[in-house]
Amino acid sequence: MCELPKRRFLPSVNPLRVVLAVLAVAVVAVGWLFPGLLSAIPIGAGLLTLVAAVLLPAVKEIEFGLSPGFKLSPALKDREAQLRSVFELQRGDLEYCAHLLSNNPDSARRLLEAAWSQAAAAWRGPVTPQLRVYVLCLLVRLIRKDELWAVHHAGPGQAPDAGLLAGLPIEQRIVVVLHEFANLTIVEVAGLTGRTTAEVTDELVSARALTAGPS
Amino acid sequence: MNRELRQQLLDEAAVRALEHPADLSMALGKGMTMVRRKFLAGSAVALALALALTAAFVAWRLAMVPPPPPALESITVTAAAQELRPTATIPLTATGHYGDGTSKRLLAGVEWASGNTGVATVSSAGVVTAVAKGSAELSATLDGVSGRLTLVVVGGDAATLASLRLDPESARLFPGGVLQLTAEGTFSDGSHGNLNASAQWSSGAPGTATVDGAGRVTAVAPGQTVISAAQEGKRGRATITVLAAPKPEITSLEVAPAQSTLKEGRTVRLDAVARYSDGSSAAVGNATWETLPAGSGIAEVDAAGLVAARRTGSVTVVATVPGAGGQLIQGQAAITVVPSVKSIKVSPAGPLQSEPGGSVQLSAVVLYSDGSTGSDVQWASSRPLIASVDVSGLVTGVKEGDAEITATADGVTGNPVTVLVRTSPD
Repeated sequence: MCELPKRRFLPSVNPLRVVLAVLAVAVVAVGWLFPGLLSAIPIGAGLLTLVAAVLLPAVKEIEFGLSPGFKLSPALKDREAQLRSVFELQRGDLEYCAHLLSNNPDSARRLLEAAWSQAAAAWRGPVTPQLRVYVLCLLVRLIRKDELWAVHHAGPGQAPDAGLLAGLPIEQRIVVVLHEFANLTIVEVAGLTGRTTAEVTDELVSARALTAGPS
Repeated sequence: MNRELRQQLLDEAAVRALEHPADLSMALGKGMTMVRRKFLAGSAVALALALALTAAFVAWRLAMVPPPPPALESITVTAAAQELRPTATIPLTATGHYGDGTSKRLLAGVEWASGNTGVATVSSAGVVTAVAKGSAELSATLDGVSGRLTLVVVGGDAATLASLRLDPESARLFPGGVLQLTAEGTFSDGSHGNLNASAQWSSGAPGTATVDGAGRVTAVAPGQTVISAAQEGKRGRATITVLAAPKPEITSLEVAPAQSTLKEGRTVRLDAVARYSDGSSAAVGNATWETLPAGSGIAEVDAAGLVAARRTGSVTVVATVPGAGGQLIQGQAAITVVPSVKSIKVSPAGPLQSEPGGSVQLSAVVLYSDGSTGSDVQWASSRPLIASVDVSGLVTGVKEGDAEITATADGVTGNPVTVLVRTSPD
């Protein structure tokens, strides 16, 4: 379904971190030779160095895509700026998709904001155009949940401002929007919705009765 | 999808997006807040793990590598008295004081020395002996750290004996045991002296322990006595208890005879002989007997050690007695059972006639219990003056008369053969 980029470890291995790791392990080993509780100082210092100067920066980079460095706030700001620029570029496209997927414009807005928020929190590594597919995936997931919630609490067809696609079942509507408006291939749509390509094709064919209209 | 519919849908979506614009800044802010929280939580967990790992490492290290012993900082040498009279002997005590604030008596590895051996000598065990009047500095050294004590040996002719005590004040001995007592005198000037030679020694019960003029006690028989040493009206006492000699313990067991060869049907008595811790040995009557392999049928042994040979073969007879600690002590003997003589047939059966000087050859066939045969017999003549027989069964007539020749083996006698010695009429 919504796949994140794989973790890339090699780029985070740089000479400085290797040297720091070796030094930290050496300090731990030297601490082993110290008598009694005095050994806690070098062992603790070595392990803390290993965690604070090697492991955490690496995790920060690999897992959160933040720039290396000890200060967190500048790294978060940089990251936010990168995400903002990409989201801004994709904003119009994603807003259309959100409103096409949801009958309720307010829900569409709210769900798109939630998708952006979750994507910003979960996206791993550098910000790439692949982020758009991930946001769309999150959006579809949220739309489905919202639809289920709406059916359970208010019943279908309760949308205040139903659009032309409101007559389609939600799964057909998702397939149509992703394929026709988000320009995803059938294979991409299948991967994103967790269905087979045959099922996606069937949904498109079924939906065509409504969407084909007079040409 | 047809183009008009598509455009219519896009237009609708555009209108909605315009009327309900998404707040990207707010969404991003929420997302980055979540990133911050996740990172901080992860960092806290990582740091906590690092600290826990440090504690575990240190605990492991402390458990694996014992801390080095505290350094010895000083030594204090003490004695029951610092003024002695010549020949007096007292032990010195060395107490070590360590860097961690602890102190303990030093027993092993201490090097004792006297700065003036003409005044006092000190043994490697830290026992000082006053030699002559003067002062000597005694030292105890361990690991390069030394402690010192100045000892004064006094003449003290004017001083009077203040008290007398015996060392040790009580002891336990076995009969025949010897103990050297020391009569320690304390004089009015505070000095100590050895009074072994000058004191009058006596035993309260010489039948229990005796003491010679130098304080040497010899235990005689079980009981208790008080040994006294007296000088100048002062008396020191030591209680000597003589214990009954401990019962010797069995250290090993032997079976006598260790090897036996028996004819079938014969018996032999075996004895279990115990060797004791005091070097003595004696036959024991409480041994239990058995044959190995058990139930072979070659020989049987009864509770008294009597072995009965049943059939040919070899067997081991084992005797067992309980040791002092409850363990079993065993001894063994090898028994070999050989076939017995069943019958002897002598031929020719006779009666035979021979002239004086003539001879007749007899032969004997021995039939053994296992069916085998042999010819090993002892020949005998009932009247050797009439007819003699040699070891091969050759009978020689000596003079006229009748004699009976027999062959015997293992107590079994064959058929007797009558030999008639007659002079030929020619």
